[in-house]
Amino acid sequence: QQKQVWKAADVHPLGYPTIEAIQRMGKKIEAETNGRISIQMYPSMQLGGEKEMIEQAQVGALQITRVSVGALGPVVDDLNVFNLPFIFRDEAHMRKVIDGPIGTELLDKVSASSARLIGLGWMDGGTRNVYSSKPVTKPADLKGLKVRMMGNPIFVETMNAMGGNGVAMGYNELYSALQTHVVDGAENNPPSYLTANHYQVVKVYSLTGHLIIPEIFVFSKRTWETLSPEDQAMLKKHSREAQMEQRQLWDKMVGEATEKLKAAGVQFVAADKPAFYQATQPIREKYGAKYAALLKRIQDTK
Amino acid sequence: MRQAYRTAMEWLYIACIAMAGVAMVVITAIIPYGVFMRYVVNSPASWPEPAGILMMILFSFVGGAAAYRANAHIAVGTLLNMVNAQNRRRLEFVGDVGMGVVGIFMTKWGIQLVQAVWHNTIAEFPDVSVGVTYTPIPIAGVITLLFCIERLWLGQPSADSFTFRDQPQID
Amino acid sequence: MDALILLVSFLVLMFIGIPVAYAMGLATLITALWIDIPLEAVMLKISDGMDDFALLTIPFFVLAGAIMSEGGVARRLVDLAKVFVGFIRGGLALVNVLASTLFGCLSGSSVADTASIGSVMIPQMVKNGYDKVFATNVTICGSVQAILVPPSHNSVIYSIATGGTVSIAALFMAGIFPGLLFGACIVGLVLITARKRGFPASEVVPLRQALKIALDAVWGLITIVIILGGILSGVFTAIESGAVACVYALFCTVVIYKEYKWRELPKLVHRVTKTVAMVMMVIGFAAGFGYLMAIMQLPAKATEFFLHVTTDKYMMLLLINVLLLLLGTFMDMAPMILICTPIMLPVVKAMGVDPVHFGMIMLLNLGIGLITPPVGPTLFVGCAIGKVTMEEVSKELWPFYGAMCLALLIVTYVPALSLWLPRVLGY
Ligand code: NA
Ligand code: NA
Repeated sequence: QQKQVWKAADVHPLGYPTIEAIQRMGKKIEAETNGRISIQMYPSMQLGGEKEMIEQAQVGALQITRVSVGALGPVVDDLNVFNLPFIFRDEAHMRKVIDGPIGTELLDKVSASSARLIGLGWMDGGTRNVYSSKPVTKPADLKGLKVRMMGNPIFVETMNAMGGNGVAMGYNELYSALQTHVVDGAENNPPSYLTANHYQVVKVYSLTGHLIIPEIFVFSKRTWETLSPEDQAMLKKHSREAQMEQRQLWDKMVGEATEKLKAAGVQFVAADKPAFYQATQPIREKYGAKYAALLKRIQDTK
Repeated sequence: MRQAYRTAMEWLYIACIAMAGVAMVVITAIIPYGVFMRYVVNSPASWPEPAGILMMILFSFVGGAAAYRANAHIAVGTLLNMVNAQNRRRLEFVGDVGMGVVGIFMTKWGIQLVQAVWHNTIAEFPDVSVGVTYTPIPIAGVITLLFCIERLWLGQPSADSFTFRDQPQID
Repeated sequence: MDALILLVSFLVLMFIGIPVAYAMGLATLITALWIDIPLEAVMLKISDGMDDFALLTIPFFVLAGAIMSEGGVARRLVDLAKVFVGFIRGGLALVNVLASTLFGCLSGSSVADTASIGSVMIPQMVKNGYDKVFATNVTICGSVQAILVPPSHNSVIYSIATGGTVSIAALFMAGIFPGLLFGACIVGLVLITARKRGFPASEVVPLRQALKIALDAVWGLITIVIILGGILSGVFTAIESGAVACVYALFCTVVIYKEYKWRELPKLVHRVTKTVAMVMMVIGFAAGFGYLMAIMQLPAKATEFFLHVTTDKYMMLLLINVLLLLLGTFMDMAPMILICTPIMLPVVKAMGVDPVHFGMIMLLNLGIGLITPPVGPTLFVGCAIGKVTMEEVSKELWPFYGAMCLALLIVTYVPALSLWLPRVLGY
């Protein structure tokens, strides 16, 4: 049979947990197929950002891509449920949901949608917290603060509901914008806060935990349809393993990032999560209405 | 027939420039509006930036096709200037055919791209399809092809064409 | 083989006279067909290459530059500059380079820098007796400073490419002296050329007249105050400053100087539209071209090959310089930084090269790559703005390459130039 090299892309650099997990999956697949199938990784945005990677997978230029649900939500609407603030109690809860029937159903919805993609599995993208020059423990602390959010109305409105002013802005401009106070803060998980060097400009990391958005990795349907059922099943099996492996790597990275941030003098502040939960209720009502049943099931997942 | 096609292309060019010019002026207005909303009113508007980029892409593709008719693109003339008149015409013919091929590629695969991503929505504007943002590609492809046919069939537009009426009278 | 098809078809298509942008596009499409990459992906890359907020500086500053040129703002600013440097042979060329140093503080993009400084300075230099090609060359070479002088968004990308292990603030500080050195090398060349070719020098302006000129130029000077002040105080970003400059330049021209004829405006927009669209098409098609190079892993393979050639630190830095200059010729900066940094940095780091210093070497190399033919966005923009052909410009660029390579060698082999300031400041 003909040799195949699947192209996989990610925005993160080599060594990042999501990349490491896919590369390990590639090694296993290569061993299992005696080298008939292998995976070639294109890290560090070499082939573009998340939106472009999704589109390249849709047209079949890429086979595997790992993106945030924030980026795939506009393509497969059902996923937007994960973009809502405070729908998971914590990361453990989120893992229960993506590992369980809800996770499987949503992957199937991706595959069944018109998106020309096959949902392979989930990954942990951590918890996003607000960082700025002063502690943000309650909604009133955000008053008048301009906080950079990802460019999706749900996220911008979430910040507005939390008490601040959400600003949509490109990630590359953010460092300079923080430095010149075009924006007063931003929000992200600890590893990104560290690697983007934003901690050198604003030094208070407030554990608001407003967004816990899982990541998803998908396969190009164009290529999928050329695979034998056995290869498809094998890929699914290894994807599940990658999903489980990635979170070990992720926890390790978050731990290390937190240590480094603390050593660099970053102040970690506990926040009044129930107050922020209350403040963002209108967002869940506005954007969550169409997923009411699903939201209920997520809450009931123990 | 020849004259009718020439006139049609003249108007197509004017339409391209008008559209691209208006888009450029509009971008120049909405970005300061965004600054005003964020800094003076302190209620940041998130649409000016992505809207500005989308309009820039539109006017670049359309304006790029128009610039081909105006012969304004950067090109290397070394070889053209070295050969005799007859060979020069041959080379120019091949070059214009090449432009036509690009136009055909942009049209065919541009349309296929638009179809492939038609169900994706833009993150910043959840009601708009990503496909819409790629429509400038096939549109520019068709326009390039039409201008290319004009070149091959009728030659360059005459000196009094609107295409060349863009130099300032005073300096 | 695949790479050869891409490069050869591009060169052939370009030399038979197809516009550079479309020659890149056609070569990319042919190669994509050959290596079986769906052409839709190339199409989406062409469009995505333009999908960048930072590129909005191009229409903004070309438009602002055109308004300032035709509305009398640029003339008054240049008159004022002549008061200070007019008596020096080549004085206006010096102003051009200094404007790039100053403006480099704003944009961090040599393309935007060429577009804005060029559309103001080239027509004025020509009016004052300079050769058009020389004026264009000074503009495009001077603009490379923008990449080094902080803030530079390419420094931010380099920091990301190192996984955040290099501080952006340190990179910003490190860029100051190499940027100034680079500017000084260009200035030196300008002074020598001016003497050799007898460029114009004007009389010393009497004080009374100088004051009158300064007063007349005040409104124009406010443009600079608004841009610099607005960015430094955080009112707007460097990119937004371009749009604000447009609006202010129009206000200045129409309300203050009252020199502009409204019926000229559609023509101005017509001209600017064509210029900007053609620049953007180059950027878009170049993105498609670079995408195929990335898919074929050309930069990574070339780098790995080079890294195995020598183990000597100085030889290695020289080889890396050569390689980056070659690759920088065909690919845009951001993807090159993202691809090459993770491969090159561990090797040179093991040889004792500081990552901050290496960042400067890389940025300067890739910056020079932007103005070397056949593919260089800054070069194309310069030709478009200066209304000169690539051949004319390329022919006279040689002395400039000499000056730039001198700067590059000093930056490469004198680490203290990059590292002294960030160390003193404790980064
Ligand atoms: Na800069
Ligand atoms: Na180049």
